[in-house]
Parts: sequence; C-alpha cells; structure tokens
Amino acid sequence: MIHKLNNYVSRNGIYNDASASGSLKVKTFNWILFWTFWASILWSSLLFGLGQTYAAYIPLIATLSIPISFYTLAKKQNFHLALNIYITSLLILPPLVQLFHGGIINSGAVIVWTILAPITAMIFKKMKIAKLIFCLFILSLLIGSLAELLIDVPFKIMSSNQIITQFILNIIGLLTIIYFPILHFTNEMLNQRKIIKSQNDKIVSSIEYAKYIQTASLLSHDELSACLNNDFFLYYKPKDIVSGDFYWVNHKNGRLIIICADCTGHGVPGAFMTMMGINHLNNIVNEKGITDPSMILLFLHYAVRDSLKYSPEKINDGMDISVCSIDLSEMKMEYSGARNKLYYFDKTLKIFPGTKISIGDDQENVLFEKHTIKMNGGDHFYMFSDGYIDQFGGPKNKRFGSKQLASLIKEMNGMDIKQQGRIISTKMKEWKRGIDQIDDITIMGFKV
Amino acid sequence: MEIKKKILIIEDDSLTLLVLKNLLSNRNFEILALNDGRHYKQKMEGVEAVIIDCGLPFTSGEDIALEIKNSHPSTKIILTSVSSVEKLKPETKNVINGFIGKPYNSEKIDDLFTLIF
Repeated sequence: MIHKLNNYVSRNGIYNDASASGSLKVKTFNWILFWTFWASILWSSLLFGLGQTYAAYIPLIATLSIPISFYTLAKKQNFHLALNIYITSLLILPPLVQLFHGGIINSGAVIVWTILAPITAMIFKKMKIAKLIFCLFILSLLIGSLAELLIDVPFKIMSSNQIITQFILNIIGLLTIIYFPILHFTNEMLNQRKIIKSQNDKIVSSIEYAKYIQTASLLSHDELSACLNNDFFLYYKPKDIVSGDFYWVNHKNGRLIIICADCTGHGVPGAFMTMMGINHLNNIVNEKGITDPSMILLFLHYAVRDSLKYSPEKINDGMDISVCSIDLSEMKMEYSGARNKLYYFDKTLKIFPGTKISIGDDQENVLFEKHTIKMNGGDHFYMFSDGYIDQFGGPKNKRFGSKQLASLIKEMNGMDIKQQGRIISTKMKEWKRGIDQIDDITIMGFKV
Repeated sequence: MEIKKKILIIEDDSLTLLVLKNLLSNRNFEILALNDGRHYKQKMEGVEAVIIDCGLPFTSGEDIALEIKNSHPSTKIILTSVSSVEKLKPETKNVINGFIGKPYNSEKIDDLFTLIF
C-alpha cells in the first residue's frame, strides 16, 4: 500500500522521456504537495473542531487547491502552472487565516506557512522570481502584523492553550513539509549520483576501449622507429582520452610517406574522423599506390566528402593535414598541406605553407599545391597540428603562437632530434602550468 | 549557351571515378561515369573522349577501346592502368590516343588534361 502510494506520488506528471533532472524536480514537488495536503486537512479539521468555521474554510481551500495542482501535473503535465497555483495559494491563504484569527499570536503564527512560497520558488523558479516572491512574503507578514494592530478582527476567541496548541501544530506541520521532501530530494540526488557515476564509468570504459582501438590503428613507437630510422620524435598529447589528431607513416613505391593530421573537433567525434582518415590513407597510399602528396590530399578530400555524404549545407567536418613524400634515392621531398605548414630547418628555418583548403571542405575546384624540396642530408623537418601553437599559458596566459614555435626550433638547431622532442615536451609543460589543454597536440620532428 | 565537351569515364574504383569526375567537371566538361563497361554503348552519343580503366569487371577496358574505335572513330580514347603501356595488346596501342599509368600523380593528371584537350 505504502509502496503503491510512494510510486503514485513519485511518478505523477513525469513523462516517460523526461530527463533525470526534470523527473527529480517534479518528484520533489509532488512530495511537497502531498505533505501540504495532509497538513492542510489536519489544520482545517482542528479549526472545525475548535468551532472556528469561517477560519477553517481557508485551509480547506488550500486542501482543495493542492489536488488541482496535482491534477494539472498529472493530466496537463504542466509543471509551471501547477507550481504557480501552489505558490499563489500559499501567498494568499495563510495571511487570510491569520486575519480571521485576529493576528499572529491568536492564529498560532499560521502565517509561517507562507514561507513555503519563497522556499518552493527558490527550489524551482529562477532567482529573480524567487526574490520577488520573498518580497511578497515579507509584505504579507507586515500587512498581517499591522492588521493585528489596526483592525478589530472578529474571532479573538481562542484560549491561550488553544493558541499554544495551534502554534506547535503549525511549526510541526511546516517542519514536516520541509523535512520529508528534502529527505526525498536528498535520496533521489544520491540515487541519481549513483546512476550518473555508473553511466560515467561505462562511458569512460567505452572510450578507454576506443583509445585501445585508436592506438592499435596508429603506428607504435617501434614501427615508427623502423620507418624513420629512429631519427625522429613524436609529441602526441590527446586533450581527452582519445585524440582528433593522427599520424601516418609508411614506405610505398620507393618513397617514405609521412603524414600528420588534425581532424575537426577532439574527443570521440575527432577520434571517429581519425579512424576515417587512417582507413582512407591505407586505401589511397597502400592499395592504390598513390605517393604524390597533392594527389593523396585530393583523393582524401573526395573520400572524406563521400564518406560524410557531403552536401554544401551541412558539411562542417574535415581535417587539416600535412603530407611529406620523400624519395630517398634522389634526396628529394615533395610536400603538400591542407591548411597545415611544414617547418624545415636547413641552416635557416624555412616554412612551407599548406593550401588554404581543409580536407572535406565545401570548396569546388580543389587542387593542392605541391612543394619540392632538395634535401642535403641531415635536415630537420617538423609537422604539427595547431594544438601546440594554440595552447594558452605563459605569464600572460597567451597562445603559444607559431612565432614562438619557430624561435624554439631555431634555438634547438644542432641538437639531437630526440633531445629536441624532450625540449618540445618540457616547454609545453612549463607553458601550460596548471591551465587546461585546449586541443589535441601532435608535433612530429624527423631527420632525413 | 556554352556547349560543354562530353567525356565518358569508365572506372571500377569508385574513389578514382569520383576524383576524375570532380577534376574534369571543374574544368567545364560534361562528365558521364560508369563503374563497368556493360552499358557504355547507351552513353556514347555525343561523347568526345573516353577514359577507360583497363582492369574492368565483365569486359576488359582494351576490348571496349577497340569497340569504340570501330563504332565511334572520332572519339578520343585514353586508357589507364596499373600495368605499363607495353603490356597492352598491339591492336589496342594502335587505336588509343593516350595512356596514363597508375598510380596517378599531379603530372599524370596534367597529361590527362592535355590528351583530352
């Protein structure tokens, strides 16, 4: 019976698809209505018992207004209307009861019930409205107190024992109404916290597994070492568990292909894009054998657009990417970029810009510029996503910036490439110093 | 109204077909595209050039090239293949206007445009 009642009150007015916070709000309000209803019945019965018929009608009206609120929630599922009915009745009815009793003392301080109006408003309404309702409560207190002094009210007939009894009942009733819904609210909050924690654990475990898959699809350190003759560093720092950046390295048709990419977004959507990018690159380079960097970008561009079912109105996803294609026998590198740059250090720092089109962009007539670089042997190259240069930090909490990265690369001139990787990592740690990472970071440096 | 040159591409690799279609459309050609050569005859009306991949399913690109040369002698025929031009049949070499070896690179794409123009 109690279980059924609990279910009935708890579920009143809650949609099947209501959010957890919406359900909690409605549930709590239902319990406030429930306890106010029984308190009003008790109060009304007491007044009838004491022979104060007129005054007894007022809590009776309150008793009737609560089922109206309950009904509004159940049938109309209109939470705000139900709430307004409840708050309005609380603002009007207890002060009226007080007037019929001839003041605060004679009514056993019945006006304290009105405090439920600003409390309820504070829980469920915006602070601005809650403050207004609080002012109305203060106003009703003042009017009630003045009325006691100024108006000769008709029912000053209770004995002091009756007044004390009423006062105690009012306080007990009020505390009951405040205590039980708060107890219910706290239990619900704890339950919801448990649910949220369990959901969060599931999500994190699922993303951790996604990370395992993403890591498996990227080359391991040993595989990179084998491809790049161990003359490289990789600073790869996802913002979240999984990354929207990726790198791709392979030998094909006598060329060494090195790719660094930054997909739209980060976290899970970014990671999905990286998987798409890696799959397409496997197809374009490994299966089709395309090693021309501008062609790799062109094929990737149309592959991404095709995979995302491109339409000019909706597309907003893509990737910024650098592609190096190195012919080691001729000591020649070809470079193409989609918005990404290549930094090349050969006595001086040279910067090769990318074409200002992202992969998957809505631009028609796409062609990616190709730069050809004659290498001297022992040259250093740097490919990176924008996460490093966009990271906020330092004494003035500014972006790291591409100028500072260029200066850093110049300063590292002559150092071993592995040592450069350690400096890149340390510099970023010092730069961030307690500030959250804002994007995925990838910097790859290599010596050819 | 400007009349666009009509080009038929027969290529079984959907991504390569998509790239060629877009590259040529952007150069103001009207593009017809097929994944295999079974129904190419229905598309041949007004076609000025065909780009055919040699390794097609159902019918080989070389056979299609020979058929087109017989039925539409004025149509330019460009063959593409992962194999070298030397591996083509001698009669095919005689009928085609050009050959582009795969994989594509930017220079080969330029050659393709030159052949079509």
